[in-house]
Amino acid sequence: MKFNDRVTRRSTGLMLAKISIVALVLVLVCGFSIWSWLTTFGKGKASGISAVAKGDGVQVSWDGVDFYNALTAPSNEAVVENEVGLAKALSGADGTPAALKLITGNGLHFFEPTLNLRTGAVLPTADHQWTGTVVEENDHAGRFIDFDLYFRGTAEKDVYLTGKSAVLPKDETARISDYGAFSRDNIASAARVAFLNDEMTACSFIWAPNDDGHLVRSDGFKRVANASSGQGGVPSVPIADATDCVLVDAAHGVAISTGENRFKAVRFSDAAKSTVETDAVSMAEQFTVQKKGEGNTATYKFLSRKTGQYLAIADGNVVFNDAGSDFSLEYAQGYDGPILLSGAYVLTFGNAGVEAADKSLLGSVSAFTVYTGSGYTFQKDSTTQVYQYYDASNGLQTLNAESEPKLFTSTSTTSKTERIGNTKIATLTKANASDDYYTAHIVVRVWVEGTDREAALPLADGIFNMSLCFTAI
Amino acid sequence: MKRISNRSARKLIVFVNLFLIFALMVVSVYSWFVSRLENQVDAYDITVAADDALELSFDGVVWGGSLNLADLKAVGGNTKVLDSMRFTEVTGDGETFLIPQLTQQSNYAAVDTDGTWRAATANEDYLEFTVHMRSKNPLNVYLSAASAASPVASVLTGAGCGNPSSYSTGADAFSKDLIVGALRVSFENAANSRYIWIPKPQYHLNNFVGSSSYSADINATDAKYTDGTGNVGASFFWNNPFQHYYYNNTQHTTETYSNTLTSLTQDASDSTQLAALNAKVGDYYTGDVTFRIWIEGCDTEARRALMGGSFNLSLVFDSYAITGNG
Repeated sequence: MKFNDRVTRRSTGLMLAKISIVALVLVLVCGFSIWSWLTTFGKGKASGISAVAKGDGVQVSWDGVDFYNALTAPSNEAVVENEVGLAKALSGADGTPAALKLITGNGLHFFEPTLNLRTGAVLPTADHQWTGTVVEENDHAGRFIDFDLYFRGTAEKDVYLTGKSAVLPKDETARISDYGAFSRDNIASAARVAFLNDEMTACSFIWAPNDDGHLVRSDGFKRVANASSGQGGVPSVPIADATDCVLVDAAHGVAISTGENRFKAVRFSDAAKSTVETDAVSMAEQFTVQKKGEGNTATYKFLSRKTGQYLAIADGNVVFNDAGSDFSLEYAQGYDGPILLSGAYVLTFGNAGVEAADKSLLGSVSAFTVYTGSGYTFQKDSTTQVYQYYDASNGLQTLNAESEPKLFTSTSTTSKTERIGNTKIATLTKANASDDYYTAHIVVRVWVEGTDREAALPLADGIFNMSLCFTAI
Repeated sequence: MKRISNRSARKLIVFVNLFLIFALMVVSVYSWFVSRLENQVDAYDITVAADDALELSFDGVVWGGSLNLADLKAVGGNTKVLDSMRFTEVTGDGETFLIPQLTQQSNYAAVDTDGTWRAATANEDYLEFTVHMRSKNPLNVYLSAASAASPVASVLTGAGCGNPSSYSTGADAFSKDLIVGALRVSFENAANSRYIWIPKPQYHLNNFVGSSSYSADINATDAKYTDGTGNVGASFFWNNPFQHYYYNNTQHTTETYSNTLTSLTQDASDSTQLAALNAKVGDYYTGDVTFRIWIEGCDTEARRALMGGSFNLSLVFDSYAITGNG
């Protein structure tokens, strides 16, 4: 389904009251399920766009035919001030959501790189160019969304984007990431909105919302997830903050929990061999467990990947070098043990492999899985972010307020009355002196920029809402 | 020739999963310059969880998101390959492997180029396995730069080194785990060119001719090293540690292998492309790659001083979706 179909503009017979400044509020509720560059094959979902436009002197329209002060789903009532109008649905006729992939571009031209499905890194050519394909204008379905927006009023005015506009996570308590205690809906920070002329040959500017939303990677991270409530159902547990510690099979130096395997649960694959039981704490820096039914013992150490040294177990305690918590070896009924205690949490060797659980749950059903390695947090701060896109001919390009096209940002603290970028998006003009209205037609283009640091696997499959608020002066 | 017997079990643990082939190997090896050894290899049954885009199989029959080399069975039987694996010191070009006849010298063994050599046996003297791959979407698969071989010991030199060799003490001590410097991994890439990867070329064990002492260098460079006679690069085993030397089939001379990788990087035309899964068979795009892993006897780390060394090896796969015209 395409949304950039041209519709002939024509006026309606209604005359609206004139005011000098009109605020248009266009609310786009975009249900984008975004697959980051770190994934593939999955199709993002765009469930639909509804719109609301409010104003006393300027109206908006999807098609240049039916103008409304308010556009929202699902009503399509008469053109009466403050009544609602058509929705902009992205779903197909059968209700199947539209799909999106991550791309990179400057609002006019886009590139879809070939990506390492494991790391998300771009596959370069021998001369360090990116491999991939140029996104053709007529083949952008599933990559970016275009929709027309028509304005009309009774005076010549310039239209600006205001700080009331926002791209927000749909629900920050839903769709918790597998990588930390935050919602994948924060993919909103990687969204881009470009305002194009009606011929789509020029871009007024690109808007990058949520400049203060940052996905931060931590390399010293352990986390537990509650299997019964789904991954991410419990908050992060700083078992070994600042120390990327791995669990090592001491007899063979085998790391069974590594940064490379981050977030992959450590498990013994064969159920018949999965149960372990305590043998002994055999050395000062390791402990030993025995696999039932095999007669084999396996001894484990904690290796600090930061220092390359094994961590000592002194009197049953593992003390991490940095800010991490202490472990202690303990035993509890119902667990084959040993149990490594860290604050309010315990790391156990149970039937499902290595597990962690709230200390208070000892003796109950094992329901937690330990994820190790690097982890992420999502936070809002003023950290400087560089905005880029990849140009298939010229490589990575930086966008800012002086670049071509310009890029303006906003944050959660941007004043709602501020004009973002103070650069007009369109001017209401009369094509013919006899026209009833001053009109403008733009194309709004929405995509998720793959070079954005928030376009990452921890935020994949997120959903965001978008509100576009305009002022006409 | 001195025989060594009654060795403790040698452990080998190999993970193979989706994008990640994680081969964790702990082997004790003996330079062929001393003796041959039939290492016993045991395996733990440990797997790593896998994703679902690329599926792997040893036999093309049983597919899964993860593979474990402990499950690799000999063709036509139920014998597990690792149960009979020996990691005998061999020499080869990544495809053909020989076990030379040796003669014991004062502190090392020399290859008898006039003796009777025998062909090495796959999955006894060296490890050989094929990974079949399939995906529901076309993929290019590469050997990742994240692949690595590393000694078990975290400290390799000096008085506090792990698994120390008995051939040196004090500040000159070094770990037997430097044996990983002699490790080789070969594969045939998607362009049908065979490559040999030297994971740790920077490890170099010095043993001057006529001397019983060794010294270890863990930061060797891409240069020829002397054997102490003043003849830089005079004999094969003192040459450049960044090159792969091996005996050819004539067993009289050593050669250097041209398609040698001492670091793994990749680009769209790289030698490390293992397979292009672009041909659809039934519901899947398929491909395969065969790995051979051995301890190269010609390497200076294949020495008596490093007998009993251990190392880990991880083979990591990177895959890229083939889009458009591929």
